[in-house]
Amino acid sequence: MKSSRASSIPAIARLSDFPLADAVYVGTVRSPASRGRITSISLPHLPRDYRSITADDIPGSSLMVAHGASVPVLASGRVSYRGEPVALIVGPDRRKVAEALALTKVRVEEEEADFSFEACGSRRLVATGRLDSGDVDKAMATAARVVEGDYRVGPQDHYYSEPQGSAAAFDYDKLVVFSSTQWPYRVRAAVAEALGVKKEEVIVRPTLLGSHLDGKLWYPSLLACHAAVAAFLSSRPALLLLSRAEDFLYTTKRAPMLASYRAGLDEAGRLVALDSRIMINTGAYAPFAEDIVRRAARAAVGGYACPDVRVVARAVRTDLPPMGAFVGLGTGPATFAAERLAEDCAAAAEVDPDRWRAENVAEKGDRTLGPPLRRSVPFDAVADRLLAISDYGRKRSSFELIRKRRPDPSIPAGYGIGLAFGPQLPATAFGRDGASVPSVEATLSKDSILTIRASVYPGSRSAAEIWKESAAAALGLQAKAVRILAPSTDTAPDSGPGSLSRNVTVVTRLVQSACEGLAAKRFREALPITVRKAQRARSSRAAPESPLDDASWGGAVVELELDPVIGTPVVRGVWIVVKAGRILSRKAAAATIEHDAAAALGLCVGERLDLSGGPADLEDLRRYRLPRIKDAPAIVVEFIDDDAPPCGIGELSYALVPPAFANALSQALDARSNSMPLGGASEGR
Amino acid sequence: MTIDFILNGEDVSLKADPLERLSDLLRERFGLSSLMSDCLAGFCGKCVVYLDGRLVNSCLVPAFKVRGSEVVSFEGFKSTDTFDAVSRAFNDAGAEFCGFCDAAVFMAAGSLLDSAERPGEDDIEETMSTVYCRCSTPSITLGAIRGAVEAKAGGKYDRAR
Amino acid sequence: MRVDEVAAPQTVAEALAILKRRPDAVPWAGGTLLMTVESAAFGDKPASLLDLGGIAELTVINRSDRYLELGACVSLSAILALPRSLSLEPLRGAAGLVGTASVRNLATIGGNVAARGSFMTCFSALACMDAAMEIRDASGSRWSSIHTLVDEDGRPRFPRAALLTRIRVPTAPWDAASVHPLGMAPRGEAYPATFAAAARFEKETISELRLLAAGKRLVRDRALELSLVGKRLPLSAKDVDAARSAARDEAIEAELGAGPASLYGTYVASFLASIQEEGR
Repeated sequence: MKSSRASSIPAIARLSDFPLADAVYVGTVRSPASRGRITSISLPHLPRDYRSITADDIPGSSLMVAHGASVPVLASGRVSYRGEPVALIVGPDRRKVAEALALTKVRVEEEEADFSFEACGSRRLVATGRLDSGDVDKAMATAARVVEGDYRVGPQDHYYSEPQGSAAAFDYDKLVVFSSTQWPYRVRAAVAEALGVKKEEVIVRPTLLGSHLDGKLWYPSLLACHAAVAAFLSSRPALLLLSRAEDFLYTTKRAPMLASYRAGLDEAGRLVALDSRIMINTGAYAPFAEDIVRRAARAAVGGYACPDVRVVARAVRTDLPPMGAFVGLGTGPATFAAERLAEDCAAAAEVDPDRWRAENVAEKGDRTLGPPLRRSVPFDAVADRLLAISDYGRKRSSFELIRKRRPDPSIPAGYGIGLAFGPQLPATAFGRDGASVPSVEATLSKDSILTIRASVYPGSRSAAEIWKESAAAALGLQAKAVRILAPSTDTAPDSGPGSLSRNVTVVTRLVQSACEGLAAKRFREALPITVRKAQRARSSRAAPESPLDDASWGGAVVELELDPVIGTPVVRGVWIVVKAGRILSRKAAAATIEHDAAAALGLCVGERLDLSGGPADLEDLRRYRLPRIKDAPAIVVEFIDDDAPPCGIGELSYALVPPAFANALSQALDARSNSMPLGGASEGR
Repeated sequence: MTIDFILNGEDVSLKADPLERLSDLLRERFGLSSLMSDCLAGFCGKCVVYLDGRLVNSCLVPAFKVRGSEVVSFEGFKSTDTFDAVSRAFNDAGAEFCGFCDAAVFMAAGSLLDSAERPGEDDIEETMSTVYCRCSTPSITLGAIRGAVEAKAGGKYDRAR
Repeated sequence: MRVDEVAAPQTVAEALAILKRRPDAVPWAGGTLLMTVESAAFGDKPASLLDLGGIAELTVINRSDRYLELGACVSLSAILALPRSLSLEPLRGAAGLVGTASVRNLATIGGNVAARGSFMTCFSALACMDAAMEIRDASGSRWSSIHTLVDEDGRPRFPRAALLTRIRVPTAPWDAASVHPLGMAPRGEAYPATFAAAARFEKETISELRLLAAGKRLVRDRALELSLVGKRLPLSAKDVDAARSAARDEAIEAELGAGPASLYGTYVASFLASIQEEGR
């Protein structure tokens, strides 16, 4: 694929770098109510060169298809959440656009909004994921002990490096859309639909993503539609940049989850039955609901063996702004619940938590998740190293003595160390939708320059180096002879979303495969040669596989103590051991795990957001406390050597550090700590 | 009002509302895209500049306050030896940034290297915490700065300071 | 805030002359509070600004045997950079709680003390240290205790058409000092209240004691302080608990909020318990 002529629009790295000459700014008119019927939109008189855009002005489809949901590009008739875009105001002066927005009134005949999700009727259910095996009720009835718990993970903001936005400008006969997106081809499809044009008439150039925490899978498409419609109707370049406040208040957050478990144990403390009901608040419209419930259901059992299992995960639509994807798409909160439950089971069985896990992990052939496991879950390999480097055993015993022997039981013990273990599930077929087949192209030129084309950025400088080195190695070139073209939908094939570590597990392999293909053709065909490799669909005749087979595994230990005066937890250390196949760059992988662990701790204590009573307001933003570099404790990361193909690691810290923290906190408080973030999202409790 | 000041070594003059934020002025009037105007409250640190040699949040500085002052943004900082030292330190440590807060992180690091007194551990952590950075690895960033401070001092870095 | 005039005096005398002509002029030092929370109080009415940045004498730091004198425009980072040998707790601790390092490069001690809506972090520390303020206006200059900046209701009271020019801090060291934010700012408020405490001992008894919380109002129970002065160390658990309750109740009455009030009581108790360890 290549573009036929040089673009008239300069490349930009960030949306905020979009050239402003002749551009119009796009401001968003929003619903003041969470639910109701729009009765009127009163716009101020707009000067020349300014205009408003409502749903009626959208040239193509006014509904955007987004991963199982239909999201209005601009709401018309009804509104479904406070802040929902109802109209746009477009003009050349940012301040005048802001003034016009302030003077615009949207009147809504409000209806009673429903933000609850922990129990709901079928009318609001949007997706269900299940895992069933055996006879849970019978097994639970004969269990020696039943452990119950409700585990909650609240909403969290992605707090992107740059607030979201989009820009669009005509480049000859094509509309170029700049979008900070994990999935540029989805943006292209959405914009083409909204404009009523062919997909080929729209080019999407992704800008830098920054830290996205999987929040930029679908929402950028909506903003791109706004910028594109504005550019289309005003015939000028258009820039839409949300303020930090708008981004915090109105873009997606981690979907809050309540996981209610009952675990049946035999006399020896082994799991014999597991019954889990998971409720997920997906807010309005609920894109990705199917993926989230499916992945949550799979992660709900962790790496443990249990003959009788019933997991039902349900996504509930509410009148909050759309909630949705966060790192792992549902696996993080499910892992939190599973690992807190594991700790509670160990306590009920009166065995050490590491021993309980060792005795309950799934072995080769286990069928808890359906298909038999090809390999045993590697708890021992991970735990041996993890418990040694963290001195978990000795510390835990000491802290237990302090807990049990403290003179005043009303005062917390003050010290805790917690363990968590679990998988990062593979992306599997995520990113393959219908006819879309993720692929990568590589071209070797006559002067032996190798060009790689993918629609996603490598993700980091290290990841780019990995691509270059592996590509160079396949062809006997030097890495400096390899260039990675900036992604663009007119020059690169659809490589699928940059999510769930697909960059490592899918795209990197496609790059290698394409280069191997080039190597095979190199001396047989004339240069330049281009090879495209696509992610092969799993054959329908192939035996089904357990989702744990290609998982990466990790263990985390968190040690903390409580401030002696006010009782806030202070983390003293974090240790993480990972087994994730062949590590392509240890330094980069360790940096990733450490960075993610520091961020995950922030998610445990400071990033509190309670939406149980309704959507966020500016006070919530002001109080949303993000960790700073000085807050990071010592974090030790190690890897277990492994020859298996590389697996993803980008979710492990986010999944494992919070439950390890909660387990440590439970010991320090001598009370179960079943909610994350701490002291915040009590979600209806 | 007319605001005359020195920007990246050059005399500049412009008309601005007295309370217009320096961050907006620098981005919109001078096209200095290195700094980002994000929180507008001195929280995120992505808009830091040197104002008369001090690292400050330009979103908290109104236009009238820079009259007669010297402002250095990242664009000006890049031509200094301190920038070279910071770049080298980050490169050697393998520090990676996302492209949004890099300029601010570099300038925070630069302010430490340029400070008259040798910064201690607390100074390093506090100054580097000026920038809310969602992307970098704490130990690598701080390790790089310690190394740069050590290199500047020409001796062994004493973490007990 | 809409600005119709910005004056940039080079001396305090010039600034006072401007204030006499425009008593509603807003003195602007670092401006960190004015650029964030305080400007809302001005609404849309036109304001006259008094830029204090050009007045050199307001950035002078003077030391004598017994006092440290800070010009009102001395930045918080300059205070933090003062030699450790100078006994400046709890002021140093309070200054370190404000914003980030780059914000502290802009924020000034005067701006922090003279904030109108609320008592800011350094106020509580300076109140503990019995600091004195030099206030200058058209009628002259006077030194007065920082406590005169608190009205009968415990709220900030900064005189109109006047300038805070210097702050004098006694440098006699305290045997124990402590400063902490009282949790998160309550909803609707920009900053949390601050706890500050200081104590001196003599022959294993408390000879001086200050216990304060400062937020929307200043909370100080002098009766509680006096009841503990003269007591032998270590204090009994009963005295510590009584102090916790008294402090908390005083803070609740001052409408600090249940959470901050409870924390205040906790910090008071913790401070008193800690000084009993040191007095031993």
